[in-house]
Amino acid sequence: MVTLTIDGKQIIVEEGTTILKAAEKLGIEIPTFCYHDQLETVGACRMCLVEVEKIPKLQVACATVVSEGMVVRTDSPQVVNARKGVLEFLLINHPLDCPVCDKGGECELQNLVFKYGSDKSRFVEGKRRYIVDPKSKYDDLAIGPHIIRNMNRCIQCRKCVRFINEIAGEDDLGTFKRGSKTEINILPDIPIDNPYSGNVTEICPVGALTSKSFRYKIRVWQTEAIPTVCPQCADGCNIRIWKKDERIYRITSRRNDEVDEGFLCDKGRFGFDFVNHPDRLKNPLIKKNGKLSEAPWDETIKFVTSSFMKIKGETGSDSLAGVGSGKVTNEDNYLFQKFFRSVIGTNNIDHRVDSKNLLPSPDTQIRNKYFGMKNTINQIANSKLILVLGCDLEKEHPIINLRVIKARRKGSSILVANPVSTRLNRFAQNGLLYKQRTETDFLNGVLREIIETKQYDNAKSGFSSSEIEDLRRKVSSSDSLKALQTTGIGAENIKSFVNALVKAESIIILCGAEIISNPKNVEIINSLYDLIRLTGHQDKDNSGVNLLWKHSNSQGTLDCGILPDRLPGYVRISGKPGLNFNLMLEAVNQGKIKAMYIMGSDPLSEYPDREYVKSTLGKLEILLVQDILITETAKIANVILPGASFAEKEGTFTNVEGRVQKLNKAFDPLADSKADGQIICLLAQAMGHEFEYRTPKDIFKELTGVSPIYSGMDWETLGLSKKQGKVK
Amino acid sequence: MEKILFKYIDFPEQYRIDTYIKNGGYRGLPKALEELSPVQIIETVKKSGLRGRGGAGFPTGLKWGFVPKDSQKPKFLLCNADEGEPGTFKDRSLIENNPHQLIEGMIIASYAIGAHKAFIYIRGEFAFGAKRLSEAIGECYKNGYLGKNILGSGFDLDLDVYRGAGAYVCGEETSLMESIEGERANPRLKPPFPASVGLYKNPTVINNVETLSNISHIVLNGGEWFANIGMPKSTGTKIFSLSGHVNKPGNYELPMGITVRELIFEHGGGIKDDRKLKAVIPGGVSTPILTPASLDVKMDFESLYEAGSLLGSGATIVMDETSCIVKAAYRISKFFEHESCGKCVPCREGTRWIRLILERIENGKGREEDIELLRDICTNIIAKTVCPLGDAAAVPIMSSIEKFRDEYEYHIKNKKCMVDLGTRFV
Amino acid sequence: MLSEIAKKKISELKTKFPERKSAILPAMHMVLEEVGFYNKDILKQVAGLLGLSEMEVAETVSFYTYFPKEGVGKYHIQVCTNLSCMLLGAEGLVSYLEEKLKIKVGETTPDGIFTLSAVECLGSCGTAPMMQVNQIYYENLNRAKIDQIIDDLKMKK
Ligand SMILES: Cc1cc2nc3c(=O)[nH]c(=O)nc-3n(C[C@H](O)[C@H](O)[C@H](O)COP(=O)(O)O)c2cc1C
Ligand code: SF4
Ligand code: FES
Repeated sequence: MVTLTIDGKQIIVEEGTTILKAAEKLGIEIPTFCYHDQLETVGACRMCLVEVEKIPKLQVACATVVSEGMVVRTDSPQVVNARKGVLEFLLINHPLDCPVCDKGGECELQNLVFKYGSDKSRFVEGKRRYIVDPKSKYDDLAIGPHIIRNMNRCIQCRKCVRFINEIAGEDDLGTFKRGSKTEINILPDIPIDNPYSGNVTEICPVGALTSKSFRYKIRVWQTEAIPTVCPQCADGCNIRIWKKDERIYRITSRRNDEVDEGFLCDKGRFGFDFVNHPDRLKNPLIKKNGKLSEAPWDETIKFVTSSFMKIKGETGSDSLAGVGSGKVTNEDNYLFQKFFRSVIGTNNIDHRVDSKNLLPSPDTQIRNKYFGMKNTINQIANSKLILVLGCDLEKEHPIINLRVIKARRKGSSILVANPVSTRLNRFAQNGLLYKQRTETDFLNGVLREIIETKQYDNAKSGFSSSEIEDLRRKVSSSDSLKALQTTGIGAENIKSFVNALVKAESIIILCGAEIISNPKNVEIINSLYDLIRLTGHQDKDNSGVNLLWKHSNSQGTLDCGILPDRLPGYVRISGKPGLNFNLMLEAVNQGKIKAMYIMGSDPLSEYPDREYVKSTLGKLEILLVQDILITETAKIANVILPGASFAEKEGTFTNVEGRVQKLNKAFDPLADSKADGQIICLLAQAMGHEFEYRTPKDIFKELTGVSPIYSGMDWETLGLSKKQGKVK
Repeated sequence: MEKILFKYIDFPEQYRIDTYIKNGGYRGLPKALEELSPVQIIETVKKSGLRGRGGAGFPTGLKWGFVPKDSQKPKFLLCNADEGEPGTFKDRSLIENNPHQLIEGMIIASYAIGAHKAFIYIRGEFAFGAKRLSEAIGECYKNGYLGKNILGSGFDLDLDVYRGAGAYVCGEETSLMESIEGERANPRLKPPFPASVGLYKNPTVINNVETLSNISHIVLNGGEWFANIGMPKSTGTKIFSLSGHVNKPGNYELPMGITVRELIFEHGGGIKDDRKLKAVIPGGVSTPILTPASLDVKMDFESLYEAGSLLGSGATIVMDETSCIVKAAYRISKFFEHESCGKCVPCREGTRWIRLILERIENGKGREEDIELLRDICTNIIAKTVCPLGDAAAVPIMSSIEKFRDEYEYHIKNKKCMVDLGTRFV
Repeated sequence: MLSEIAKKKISELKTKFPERKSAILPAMHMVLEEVGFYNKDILKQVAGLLGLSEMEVAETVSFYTYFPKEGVGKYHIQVCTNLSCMLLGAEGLVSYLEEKLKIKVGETTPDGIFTLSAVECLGSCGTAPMMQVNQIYYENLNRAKIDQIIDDLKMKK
């Protein structure tokens, strides 16, 4: 620990801390332009110069490490003059177009000039221009599908290029020439088009890089920023919706270091069109004479509930089934299962419409193999080896992908094994391509190599010698040897793969959709657990097997009991379990299920056999679909109920690592649409049940009472602070 | 006094290894390898008082001593042959005419710091010098002075010529490393210093051509011998590159501490066409300008510092009465704007602004307040940049205003030079 | 554009240094010797030969001013105009060349033979004024010498 004094205040900080960080702890703000805590420090802008006693020159606070007894001044005339000097230098060539610049109102240069700068310009020569088109006086240049560059406003902090290189691991943006001619640019005709490009518009302190979709639409101060959570994938990035009236203008990051470290993927940032889409469902629709037509809510509710009651009365509760979704909130899902279990009286509940091969349901007490992530997102960057298996990580989990790239930057090894090459392969020390569906054979080969070459950690593995022997026999059988040949991976590759695995100090395995819906998913996951054990990592913090669910609330949907055999919190059903989605389809074909209520899912697009689902669901007496757009499934429904989008409701999502985060409502549901939970309440009430919840908060409170894994979580502190609930 | 580095500079074919050996070359190296330990060599260099000839004058032995001895990492020796400081042309001569003297020094230095790989970073324009060096290095490999087991000592060294490509900033030591690493040559923040984190993140020593050329002589004749030449704190000889309005421009190897007057009038043959002296820049364009009042200042690190300037690279530019200081300042400012790497704000923006103002004054559009503005800009650059190039750009302008304010004022008021420049090209 | 030999030499550079990027400048020197200039395609080729991305090569090369871009004449005349040369008439030298070649600084003669540039100090201040034509230095210049040099170059074409 080091003691130092800044502006007369003493503070004790860890060794290696910079003056900037130490000052921050004291609440002393030192202005910066080029500094970004996720990027390597370059100390280039010189805005953070401070005075350090006994050192004649001013020092950059961002890069100067504290030392014992150091005395720092951040407010002396010398420091203030230096700041003024830097600002003046930046301003001489900066256009004075703040009133039209898109960054106006949130520009770091503008803010600091207000604070320290002088408003009298001493610069009389012509400002530097980077002319893009001699015929136009605007020097705007589209450098990618999302990004517009105006080099005249650039202050050359290079945070954009550094982000693209260091964080995203890309190099489609670069720095050219030198000195006062330095230019940030793409290569001719090669636009910046990586899945993280939008971050540069946020990281740019000035209006040099702006987003095509937002610029000139509205001024920031006319909008309101609503903190919420991204609905696009299970990573659960924290975002802000910038809205005015009933419209989203843009989405930006609401940095949460446990999850996103302040970055978003372009899909999350720019893919909000669906909210304000003209095709949004606005009213309930009932199919009459083969045609869907608008109907008032009360009529529709009456029609649905009387149909449900009729079927229940005629052929029993189990003739109905409910399909929830990983895309709606915990509260919606909780009510959904409650509706089916207590109002309808059936356990025919599921949400896994995208696979024929379902994993067993987890149990309450243990963090079960089939639970999701064993590790936290943050631990990924700390693992010495990361194995990505059956997953196109950049596409499926863009933000987790950044953690893997971060680990790589910190020197970890990356192994990737997939049926096809993915973009992550460029960082892989070993990128193996196996033939589809040969995962188990490949893994057996890996385990065999470890066992036969005696490279396992006997002491730490906890395997008894007979267990090892069993495993050895299994993976060394002539069948498995033969099978190994079908994987398409040569013995040499297995060897070097194993070599990396046994050397690693920690191993995190990430499995994606390809594994989760694999016919041999259970076997694969067991092999991976064996692998972690054999290498002696089973109880370690930065090691483990992780299943990466697909949807923004896949984990929460499981947690809330949208399963035929588990109540919320994975409490086992006491009686007979209900049917899972595959069995539901069979039951429909056998005439046993007559009505289905699908909330937020689209089996026609998601199920592996579209025609089968389509013809099966077509046989239902009642197919009720509740969604925000006319999905493929909705097109064949008898009744459609218009739900609300993520921007129009409150509630919680549980991300892939079990972090419960709060969604906030940006505006009311569009037209006559309603939040899913509210619709369920209307249905339940119409069927004579007391579903009296004033807000999602009430539902969440009930959920925390019912579900052992959510107990103790507090709605008020969820999401708004960094204190999100974490599934136990 | 007898010359050290330049003794055989004009000797026919001194660049060839056999000539070099005939003239006493490659004697320091066997002595170093056979008789001295690395630590003893460093001690000898420390004792000699040799200070870097690249500009900053840092004690060479001390620098070598900073290389961690227990580090398992590979170590590198770099020779800075980027010679880009306007006015300087001594390293080029040392390279073209006596490359083995440099190479011998480099082998000894590598041995002293434990480096097995060394580079000579030579500016791109010196194509001929690069060729000379490559040929000389080839001769060394053939004769067992480079490669494995040098002269049977068990010491290995590989030496390569690395050519720059037109960037003055690459003379700055960390930019030079970035350049060899194939990056845009932006200087790095220090600390960490090259001795611990240098080329490819490994411990690295970087020295100027002239510095390294002295090494074999010091090893051969002893530290004390060298320390006895020149001044107490600026020992040895220095090569002064004399240019501008003198009768005999050229390189002069003289003991540290000769006066400006001696250099210009005794060795340089006085001012051309018997004109009057107006100004002298003593250490390359990045050093403060001096007036004739400083003619008796001694040319060594301390004395020039006390006189308000710097020894720099020892490049002495002489300006006679027909020179315009504003024009000279403008020309210097153009150079620094062109050579700023652009990494840090004060240098990138400041050098351009200075040039714009000087250009305006030069073109008869100066304003009275420009002089104070220039001084302010210089103040906002000096000591606030990543590397010393910022200072180098601002300090000479500042000093030219201090010493020749009347010329600026005249220029602004009368929209023209104070003097008749005439034409020089015939 | 690059000959097979040059290509081979450049790809050999790939393993010469501890890091591949170190080979960029040496490769560009080979390009200069072989082709005399570079363009987008050559950079792309160099990147391919060195196993680097185009961006890596382009960013680095753009920092340096020594490698001429496509469009440079057969003889690239670079006149030092820095202080020492300026004091001894570099400006007069430049205008004399402009007059003689009938082009301005920065231009190339219509026949593509000469390009005239004004450059920074070339380390030849003691022999000012001076200029560099391609890789060769010409020092202590005066009108007569320039006439001779240009005539010689024209003869060689
Ligand atoms: C902008 C700049 C340019 C420099 N150019 C050179 C140069 O061309 N040659 C040189 O030897 N040193 C140059 N230096 C000094 C080097 O950074 C470094 O101090 C020197 O090479 C160390 O060698 P020495 O200790 O032997 O002098 C330059 C420094 C700066 C800041
Ligand atoms: S002072 Fe100039 S050359 Fe040095 S780092 Fe800053 S911008 Fe680059
Ligand atoms: S923030 Fe420290 S130099 Fe830019």
